[in-house]
Amino acid sequence: MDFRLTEEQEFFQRTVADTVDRMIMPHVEHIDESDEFPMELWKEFTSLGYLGLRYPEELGGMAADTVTSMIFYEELSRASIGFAQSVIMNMLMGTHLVYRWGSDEIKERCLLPALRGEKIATVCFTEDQSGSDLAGTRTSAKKVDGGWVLNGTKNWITNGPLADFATVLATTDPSKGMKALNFFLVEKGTPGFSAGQVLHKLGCRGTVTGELVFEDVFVPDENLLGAEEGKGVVYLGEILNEIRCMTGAMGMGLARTAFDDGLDYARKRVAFGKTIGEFQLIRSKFAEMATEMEAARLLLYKAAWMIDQGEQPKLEAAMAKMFCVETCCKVVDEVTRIYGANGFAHEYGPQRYFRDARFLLYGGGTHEILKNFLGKEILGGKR
Amino acid sequence: MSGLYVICEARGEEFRPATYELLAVARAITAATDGEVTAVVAGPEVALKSKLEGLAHRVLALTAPELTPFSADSWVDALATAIEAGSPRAVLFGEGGRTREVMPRLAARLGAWALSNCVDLRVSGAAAAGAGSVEAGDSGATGGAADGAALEVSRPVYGGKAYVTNLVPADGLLLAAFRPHSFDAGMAPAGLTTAVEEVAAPVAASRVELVERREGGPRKADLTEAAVVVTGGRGMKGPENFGLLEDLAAALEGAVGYSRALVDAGLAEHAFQVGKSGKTVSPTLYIACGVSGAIHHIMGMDTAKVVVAINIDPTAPIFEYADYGVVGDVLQVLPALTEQVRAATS
Amino acid sequence: MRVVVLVKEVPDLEAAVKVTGDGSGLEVEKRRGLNFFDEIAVEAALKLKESHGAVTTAVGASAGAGVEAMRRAVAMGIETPLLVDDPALDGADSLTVARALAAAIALEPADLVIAGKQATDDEAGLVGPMVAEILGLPCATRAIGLEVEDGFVLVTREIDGGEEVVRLPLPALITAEKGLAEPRVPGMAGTMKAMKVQIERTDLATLGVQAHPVLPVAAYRTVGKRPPVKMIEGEPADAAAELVRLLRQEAKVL
Repeated sequence: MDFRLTEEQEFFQRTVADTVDRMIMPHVEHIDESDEFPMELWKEFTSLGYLGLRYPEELGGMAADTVTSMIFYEELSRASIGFAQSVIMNMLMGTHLVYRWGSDEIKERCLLPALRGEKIATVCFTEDQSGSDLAGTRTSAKKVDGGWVLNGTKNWITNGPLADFATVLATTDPSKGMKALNFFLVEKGTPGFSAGQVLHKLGCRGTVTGELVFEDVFVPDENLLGAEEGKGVVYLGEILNEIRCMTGAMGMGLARTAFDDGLDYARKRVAFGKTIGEFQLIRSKFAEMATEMEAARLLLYKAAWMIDQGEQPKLEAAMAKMFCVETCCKVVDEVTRIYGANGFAHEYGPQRYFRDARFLLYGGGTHEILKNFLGKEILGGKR
Repeated sequence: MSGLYVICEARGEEFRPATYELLAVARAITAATDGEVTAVVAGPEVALKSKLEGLAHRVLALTAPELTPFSADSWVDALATAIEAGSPRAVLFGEGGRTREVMPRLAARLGAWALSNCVDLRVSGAAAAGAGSVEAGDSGATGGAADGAALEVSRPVYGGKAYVTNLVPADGLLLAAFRPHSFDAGMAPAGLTTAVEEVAAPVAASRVELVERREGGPRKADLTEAAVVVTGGRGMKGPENFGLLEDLAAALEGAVGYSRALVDAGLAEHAFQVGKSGKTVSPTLYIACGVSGAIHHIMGMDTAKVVVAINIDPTAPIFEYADYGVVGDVLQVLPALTEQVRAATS
Repeated sequence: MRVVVLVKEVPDLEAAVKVTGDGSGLEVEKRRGLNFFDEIAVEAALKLKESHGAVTTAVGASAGAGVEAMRRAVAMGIETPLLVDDPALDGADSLTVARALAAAIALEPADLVIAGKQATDDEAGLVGPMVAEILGLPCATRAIGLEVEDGFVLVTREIDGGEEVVRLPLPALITAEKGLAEPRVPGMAGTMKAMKVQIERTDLATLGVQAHPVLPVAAYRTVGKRPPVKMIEGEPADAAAELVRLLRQEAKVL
């Protein structure tokens, strides 16, 4: 048993941390305040090549293992959760199915530019009436000669209005539920494909989230991503554990930033003639936060390690996502309290962490859904 | 080995204040341990040697033509010969660009110890002499040890987070560079009978060809040397307000510095930057105006004797490193302060 | 053209520094990285790699550390890392370090050696010029501009009170001041290379380096923290008047 990162992973962590500190940190407040996608920063950061992190070297990637990917997501998420969301969308959900099932031409046209940051990718699950409940997907794909015609509206699509291509979940037969779901590649410029309303969000600002509309969008047969029709959910399942861990890693990154700020503040802020860190109730907060963050990190990296061992840690990944994010929400809450009224002021970071943390509750599975799943698995004794 | 050499460096027509400070501490130490103080002047400084009358037992003037204007190659050669001939136990330099060209190379050539950034020198067992020392104490109290006693030399390390005091054995040669304002030029009596010795022995020519030299105005020269430094940070907003810094600095006969935030934003020149990636200053009075006090900055000013911080944010870290703090908008406090200083000093 | 960069691994600026109880030693938190000015030196070397096809090597000297700094240099684009790793370098005198580096450089002579102006831990700025002296190279400190000519380098450098332009015959050594080059942020490919790189190591005996004795330490101490800051209240004019009074009467610096 060895809980340490390897020396190489530690070097990777420090390098990414340093890059994030130098390149992204100076912009985080502006990204939040302007709520505009930071295109210049996107170009600068993505030119470093990290978007290919988990992909093979022949695609310009690093073939990183899951633990190393988590290190990256965690460090990236210390800065701007909004920006991290956009980056990770191109690294994982927005490109995975294209990588896995796209033809050589599709990879050349979509995947490679996306891994260089020249194209923005997204994936579309959520609709107005369905999010967690994929079987409720209404966006339809109808077989026609030589391809498929898509109709429907997707919502809550990260990078959506900016996306150069989207991997779109649609049903080929609403009566068959999960067994009729497939992913289709739709590229910008395809007739009938357009961006709808942009959402105004509480947090994760700076990433553009909104509607994508499909009106009689024709895509050729090769745009159905998968070897077999009706297996969309199965293909998604291949990276579901990774997505859950990733969301947990984002929570860890955000929690660390909040924690470090809180620590700094508690060491400096003076009340009643001593620093507030000298008061027992403030110390107690740090003891609890540090303990829970340690526990969360262990869950997260254990689940990631299991993926690297070729296992399918469905329970562990769900637990890690849930516990990391709950810990993050608790830490940002406590840090706003440590800041006192300053935790409520726009001039300080905690209010932003507090807003951003909320999004992580929903992405990667709501905790209500995850608990239901976990409880069922545990009680059902299916293991 | 006995006696101390002081490398006397001038700026223009006057020796640097550090020269007088180092001669004073050297007199104090030799008074306690025997041995002589040798003031070394070379090249352009030879013309100023009369200013050293009474401040050293001996003036050693190196007059070879290669030494004017200053070039490190020739100076290293000439000083190495002089030091080998005189065999002092320590050679004292004032911290500065020229010292940093010459001293390390001399150490390599002579197999000597070299230390930069020193702030105190005393005879082992004696009380601290350095005005800039952390134990800043009774200046002039150096003494009380017998000849041949070890010297103790102190300097900050890790950006001033710790100080180290080294013990220099009596039979070793130490080359040490001291920050300005480390000693009080009046800490030991002057009035010595000063012998002057000129050495014209040929020295190596410079391998470095000087193409062009652009010397700045007096303000530029003053930053590391000044007894008072007024530094502006982000709170100054922009160059339109820098006049406020210059006014205060002028009233205090000091120099103006800028924080990294302003330099990185392209609002001020790097040559005036105080901090880790800029200049290290060690003045008697340091006034930080709208400077938050990031560790990079603290590393460049923490050995200042008295620190004043003016900042609108009462939690700014700079206050932890200050003796006096004013919470307020620096753009309002500065003109008021300049006015008060003018009234008080006129 | 062969360019050697001297690199030092130093504690982070934020690293905690503690004096051990009796003042006999220092404990420095193990958060380390490549020295700020060495990063600039590395970047300057990489610029020569791009413009003049220079072959670049990073050389460091350390006792059981230094790998982090070497990896960073490789991640940025340096081809060959060489580390003098010897227990005798622990707390060694600057001259020993300079001798070790000089001997390592001499293994395969360089046209240009670039060092940082100083390291951020002791800020001494000794080793670069010492190496120049040992190798007999002409030296220019605090370079803010660098151009390679045929057999020469033209260096713009900061001097006290201004700047100057000097021409040095190659081989030569320069030290890098802030402004010489803007260090690049390593990309993923470089980082990956750095993670896998084999760092060549040697030691003092192999290099035939004689250590210079260590200057004994009498004591370490933490900074005698300034007394708590005296905050001056009131409107700007009143606060300014009170400050001037204190500076005159209490601090006696006016």
